[in-house]
Amino acid sequence: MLARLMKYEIKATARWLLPLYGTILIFALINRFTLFSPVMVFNSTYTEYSIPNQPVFSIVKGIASALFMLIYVLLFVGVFVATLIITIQRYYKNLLGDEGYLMFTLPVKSWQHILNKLLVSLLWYLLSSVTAICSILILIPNKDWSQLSYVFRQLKMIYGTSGIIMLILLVILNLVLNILMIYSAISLGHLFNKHKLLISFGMYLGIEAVNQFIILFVMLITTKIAFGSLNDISFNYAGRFGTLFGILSVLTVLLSAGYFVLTSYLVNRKLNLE
Amino acid sequence: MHNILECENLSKYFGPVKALDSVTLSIPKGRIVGLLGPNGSGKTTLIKICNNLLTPTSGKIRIGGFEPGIETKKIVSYLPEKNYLNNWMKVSEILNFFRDFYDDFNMDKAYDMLGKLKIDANTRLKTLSKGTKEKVQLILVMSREAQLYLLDEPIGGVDPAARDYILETIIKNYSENATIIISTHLISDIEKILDDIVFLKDGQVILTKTVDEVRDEYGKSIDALFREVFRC
Amino acid sequence: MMPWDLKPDRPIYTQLIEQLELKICSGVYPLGSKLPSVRDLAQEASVNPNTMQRALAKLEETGLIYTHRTSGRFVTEDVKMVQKVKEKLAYELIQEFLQNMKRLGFDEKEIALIITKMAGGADNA
Repeated sequence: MLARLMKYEIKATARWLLPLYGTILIFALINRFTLFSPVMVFNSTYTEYSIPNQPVFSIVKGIASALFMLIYVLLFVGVFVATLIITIQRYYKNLLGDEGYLMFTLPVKSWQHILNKLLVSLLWYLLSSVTAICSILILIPNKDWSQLSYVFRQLKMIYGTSGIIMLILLVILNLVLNILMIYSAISLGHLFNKHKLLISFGMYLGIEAVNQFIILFVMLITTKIAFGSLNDISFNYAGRFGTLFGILSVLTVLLSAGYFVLTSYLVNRKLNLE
Repeated sequence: MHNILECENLSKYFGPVKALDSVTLSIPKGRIVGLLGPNGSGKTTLIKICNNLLTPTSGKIRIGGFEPGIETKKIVSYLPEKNYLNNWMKVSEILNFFRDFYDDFNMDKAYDMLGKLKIDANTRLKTLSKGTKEKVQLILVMSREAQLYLLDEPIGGVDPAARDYILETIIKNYSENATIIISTHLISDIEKILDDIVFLKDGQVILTKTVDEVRDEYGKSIDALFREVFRC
Repeated sequence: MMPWDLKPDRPIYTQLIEQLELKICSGVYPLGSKLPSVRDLAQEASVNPNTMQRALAKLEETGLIYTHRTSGRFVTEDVKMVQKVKEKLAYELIQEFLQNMKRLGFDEKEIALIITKMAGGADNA
């Protein structure tokens, strides 16, 4: 059943995101040429291609490449904004709006609906990130890639390969937590008759505050344990960070589970579609 | 098992507001029942509880012996008053959707009805008129071979010709194994196809009789009786 | 096709019985013919199949129709029985007519005169 839900969820959302991905990749390509390749014009006098000298030409080229760069940057930001909007909208509209009458009468458990939305949102976030990274790689000409790999080697030295993996894992777990926080906030706001969106937003801030408090509290305790005195900074990062990341990961998973249970409960027993 | 729906002292409160007040009801299989009452009488609340879209505050409810949940959703086919179709699918896609989730969905019947109502399966739901969307929703619901059909105002927004077709479809789909509960205001139109009627007022059941019992005992139609009982 | 005439203030099933009797007497369902299925009849009359079933069951008690175990319901072949039902229906129609005429103020003699005139007129036309 979950797979079927996901199939339709992906179908519903792909029609917005895939074109966006295509567009950003195209603009990455365009920018690669406007930024890094000189514009060649066939010069009849010398019967060869050469870069023209006229100032008008360079002004036009300047404006054009600036414009294309602007669009690309907007798209880059836009891809993630769009993914966030879709995450919120799919939950709000498809589950708690009129379509909820269709979804919640399907012979499917409530938590499967939430898991479905969560997994597909996560998928799009990952794909958006991959697309963004690909667009950067398209943008930057091959000869400049060595500079990028230098950055990676530096990171690897500081955090270790396992550290980088843990970092990525933590980012993903945090993503899951954030999505579940959004769902919880929307579901809580839905309990009220008026100003649902406003209350949801307020709830989200509240949840965020609660989270920060919990995380800060746990971190204070564990850093004390992991690093001993806070003054002693001359130690091997990689090992200690492992413990730190481990604790943070577990905490994130527990919090995520908590919000998942909360959302499931709200949607199962406190559902009240208009 | 003789009864498809059993409610025992079912109550639902929304804060201080009592939407359903100790409703006790037994509805057997193979009946076409009219759930009648003015706005705010609790009809929609009762129907939503049957669909597990609302949880009761107290009391019991069983459908086919089960509490509202996955097992009941498999055997209940619900037509809400609202339009619940999404925008991006085509008619054929929403049909496939139903077939994917409901084992009792009869695809042939659905296409047959689409044909009779002259609806092109290839059109996008977004482009359909309100009336046509309602027809599509009705087709989806009636194409399921369910044990309990819950129709909330099925003939409200459609033209008289479609109305006749809908009533015809309900009669045609009648089976001794299925029960149809119709909640509506347009009583005179559906009166003849009902077996039983339930009058609901302020969340309470104030009358349950067969249509002929009412006509016999009160000497008037259900429509006339309704107007009398619920006079403003 | 004779439409089903169902009034809103009387029980449906009694009206269905009357309508079926009418259709049998007037030859819509001829002697010995097979009746449509309950479902088809219900659809034609736009009524609940259970109600139609009740009406048919009642008619069966009178013997006007009978069920053949496997092939369905049939109109009786008993001419005399149908004749009796016809007469009963005629009697009821005339009763109603007389009542209405009396309400208009006619007495029996005047009624008889009018009938003769109209019936005679129909013959001449």
